[in-house]
Amino acid sequence: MSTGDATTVRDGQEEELHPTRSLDDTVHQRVRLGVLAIAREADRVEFGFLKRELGVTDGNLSRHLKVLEESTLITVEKGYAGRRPRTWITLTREGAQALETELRALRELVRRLDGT
Amino acid sequence: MATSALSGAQHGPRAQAAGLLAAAEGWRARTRAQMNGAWVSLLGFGVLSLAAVPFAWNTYNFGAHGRNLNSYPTFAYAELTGLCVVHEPGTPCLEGEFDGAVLRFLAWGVWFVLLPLAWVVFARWYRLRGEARGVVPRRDLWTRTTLVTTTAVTTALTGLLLGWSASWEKDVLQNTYVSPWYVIGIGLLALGLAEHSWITAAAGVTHAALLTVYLGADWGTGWLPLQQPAHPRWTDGPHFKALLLAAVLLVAASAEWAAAHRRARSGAGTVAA
Repeated sequence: MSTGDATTVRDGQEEELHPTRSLDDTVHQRVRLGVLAIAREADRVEFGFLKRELGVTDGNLSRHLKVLEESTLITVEKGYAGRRPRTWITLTREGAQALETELRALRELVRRLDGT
Repeated sequence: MATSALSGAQHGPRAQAAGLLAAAEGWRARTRAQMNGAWVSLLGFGVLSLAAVPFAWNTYNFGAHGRNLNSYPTFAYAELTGLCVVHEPGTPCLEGEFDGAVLRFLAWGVWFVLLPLAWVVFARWYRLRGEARGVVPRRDLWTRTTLVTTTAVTTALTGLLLGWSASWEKDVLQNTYVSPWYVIGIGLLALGLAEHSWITAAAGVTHAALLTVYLGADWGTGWLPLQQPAHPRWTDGPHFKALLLAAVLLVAASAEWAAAHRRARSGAGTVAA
């Protein structure tokens, strides 16, 4: 996972690279960023779809979803399609803002590093 | 699964940030690709437009066939009462003029119902297909895009009409067969913007522009080469114009189908890379 790498970015160049201050570990982690990016494009996405797209296991994805849900960046709703259980994930307003902030910070970071 | 973010991390923060950005954009593009269905609407409306071609002779008010009906309600009234409104209002029709055929009236009026209804059916199919695939399209995006597109097209039309000093309340608000077909152009433009598909958006704009050109013949702009020929040939008539509308949609449908499949394949490649 890239959480450690993100910390490196933050710790190593915090003073020099202002955009890193906008990076949030909750969002910066690769799988969680993927969940938010995918959910941004839809009203709601299904657990199986996320698992397929992100290439993670059930347990791994569940843990990341729990982190995001506890941070109120997503809501998780369980239901059924016939007899088949389905879990739907919806991005909250806070989640959309957090994603935009993260992407803006990453773009700014790349722009600054390109200029050095 | 290999990730560009992880491999990028080995080369420093710049590569890591760029890798994450690319991955996020890849996920978003691939999710949109999963929902792509514009080619279905292009094909569906293309077929509907083809089905309309046989009726075009009796229903289009392009001026190319020598008739000049200004108002659908007036026409409907005349059709139902059997009184002609073409050469002299209130008198029986001459041969070849509208002559009270109720079937013609129905064939014309059906598009007013059928076209909006077709969009409702498409929207429902789109939603159900999304649910089956595990990714439900954004309703707010659709509502917003449709509102913006409708406003933009209506504003552009109003600007054109006022610019040409046309009797627009007569020729467009009431006009006949052409105005309901704007539903297709506007809808496709909205769909193209929502799906990031320039082919669909271009087809919508072309369709609406073509209708405007057809209407323009009634405004007396004189720049439409097909209007009111002295000796009408087949390509001057309403059938050709109706076919042209259908052709725009069907050609766009095949192009969009190919593009959607290419996007789906390249999207898979982006995420897996």
